[in-house]
Amino acid sequence: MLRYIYDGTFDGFLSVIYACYYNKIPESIEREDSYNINMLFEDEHVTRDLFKSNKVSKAIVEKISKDTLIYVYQSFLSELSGIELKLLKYIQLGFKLGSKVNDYLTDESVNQIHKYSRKVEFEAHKFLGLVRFQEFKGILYAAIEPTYNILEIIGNHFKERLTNEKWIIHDYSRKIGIVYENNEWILRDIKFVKLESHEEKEIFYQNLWKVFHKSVSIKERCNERLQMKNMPKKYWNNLIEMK
Amino acid sequence: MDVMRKLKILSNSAKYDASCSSSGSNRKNTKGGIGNAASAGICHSWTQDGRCISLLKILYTNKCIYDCKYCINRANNELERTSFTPNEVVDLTINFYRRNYIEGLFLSSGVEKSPDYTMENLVKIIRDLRLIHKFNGYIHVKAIPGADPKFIYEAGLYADRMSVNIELPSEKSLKLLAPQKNKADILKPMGLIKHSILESNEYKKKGFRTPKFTPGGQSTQIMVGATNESDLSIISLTEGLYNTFGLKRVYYSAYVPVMENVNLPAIQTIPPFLKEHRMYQADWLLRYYGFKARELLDDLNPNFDVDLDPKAFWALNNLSKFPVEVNSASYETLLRIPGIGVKSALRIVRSRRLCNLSYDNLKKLGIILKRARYFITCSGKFYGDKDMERAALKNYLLDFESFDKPQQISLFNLRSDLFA
Repeated sequence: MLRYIYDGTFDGFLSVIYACYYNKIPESIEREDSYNINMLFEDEHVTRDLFKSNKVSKAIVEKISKDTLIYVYQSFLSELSGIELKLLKYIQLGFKLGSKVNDYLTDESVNQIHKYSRKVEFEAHKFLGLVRFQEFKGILYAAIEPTYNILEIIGNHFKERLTNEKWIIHDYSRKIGIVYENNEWILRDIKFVKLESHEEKEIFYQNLWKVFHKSVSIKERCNERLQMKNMPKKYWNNLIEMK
Repeated sequence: MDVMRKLKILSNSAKYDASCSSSGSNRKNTKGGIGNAASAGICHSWTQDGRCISLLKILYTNKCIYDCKYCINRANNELERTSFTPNEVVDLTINFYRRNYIEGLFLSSGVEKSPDYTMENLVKIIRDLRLIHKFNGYIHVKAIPGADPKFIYEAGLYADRMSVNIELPSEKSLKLLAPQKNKADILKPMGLIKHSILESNEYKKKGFRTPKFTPGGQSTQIMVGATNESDLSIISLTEGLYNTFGLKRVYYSAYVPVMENVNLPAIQTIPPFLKEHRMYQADWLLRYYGFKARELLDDLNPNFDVDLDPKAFWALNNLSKFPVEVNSASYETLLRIPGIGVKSALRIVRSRRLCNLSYDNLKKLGIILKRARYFITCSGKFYGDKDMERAALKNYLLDFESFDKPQQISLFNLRSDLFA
């Protein structure tokens, strides 16, 4: 049985798709950092190759549709185990059916890819609101801990919004972050643990925010279940107003 | 008084405004500016009552010359009164915005001295925000009824959304509870805003570069449960507002008793939250599901059944239109089936082009079958209750488990003649 091992990046994954197309279809696709040695599998390492990945993404846009590439990308970011094989099936079906593949919702693999893509998109949208910046000597820093790897999706939003600032959004559980300065953001590894600012001005606005958050709530309508449904507890660690 | 205290008082005074949406505008950031607007709107936090916070919702001042009986800021209420300075509002907005606490500013105000004086102050703040501080985040501002049209027009040039609250759904209730206000004063700014939006769009179509006028449109709020108007009169009013004034949203707020008055519910009354919820559901039916107010309710039944949502209520009153075949019904018909919403109706329409849909397929498409099953057929097969009887169906909709539960048929009821 054939198994492809790749480096865990999206470009690496698209190189795997390239290999599937030109070589053999594998029984399993695993990430470099999380696979176990298994003697049943014949491992083949696929290296990330930008030429190949560009070719695949271009083919998906041209032969299937742009939406499809977005679905593939977003559900890839869910980082669920086994998502690679599901994506392979979905892309295969896409090359067969063309842009109609996204109407084929009764098919299990199409349905699932749409579902995961939606979940990632939903969380990314939530985080447009849930990121809380703290000021460190003029630099804005936010620590987040999302379920899915959504940093790359939310980068452009903050770029357009906080154009003249310098800011960092730090996904501390994945040890990565986006760093923005001078109209450009990059995704990079961040080794340090999450930070908290104790600057006087920062504490002042944090307290104002806490006061506002409390006083704008209507006591007679208290509904903590609804609050938790909209803003799950897993996010509370990094929300100033919920501490 | 320090900013902290002011913020506490003036956000507390503003909290009964339900609107907090930040949608409908796609204002871009300017060079050297801060912020933009996302057309879908973004919620930033949720308060303990489960409502979202997306805007910094404050009053400019809670000093008010009006004495509306239902309002906590009315002139005769003993309340600590204060006002922000324009700089304080600007500073709070920008610093909250930079930290991504909020999506923008919701600026309302009590009527201090006169409507003109108040509106002029509001305009000054948002003008400063836009022009001096180059703030391009979302701004929602109240149009104060009775203010000079020139102030309202200027506010519209800087704001993303404007609103005038109707609060009381009839002239009669207005006379009773807010004698200083009248219907004409409330509707006038609405008409002005509508007209200015149309004008701005018209110029744009012709290729002129005109300033945007409230790109997010206008909204209003109606109180539910303070007076005894029927549901029909409220949703008819809503429909009228959408059609004649082109409103983006109508909000409803269950009246929370804040004061003892002979014409108002007693202080201990629990606010009619369920009724408010039903009004929102009906509102959605008007805006997204193609229903008309008169279809949902009529003079014989002027109120919704509190137990049933308005769509199920309509379906049960129109059982002759069901069951519907999902594989052939039009999109508009699918939308009217309880348990099928806008998204799932679209999914049905898309996926049935490729293959015939079975009952199991529907589950995957996200249709709520425990509600929809009584109203649909799948490739000719019906999965609901054969009798299609109103009372029984209502029972199944309220307790869906009762349908699937095997029940022992009572011998005594069926053949009572044998045991006579």
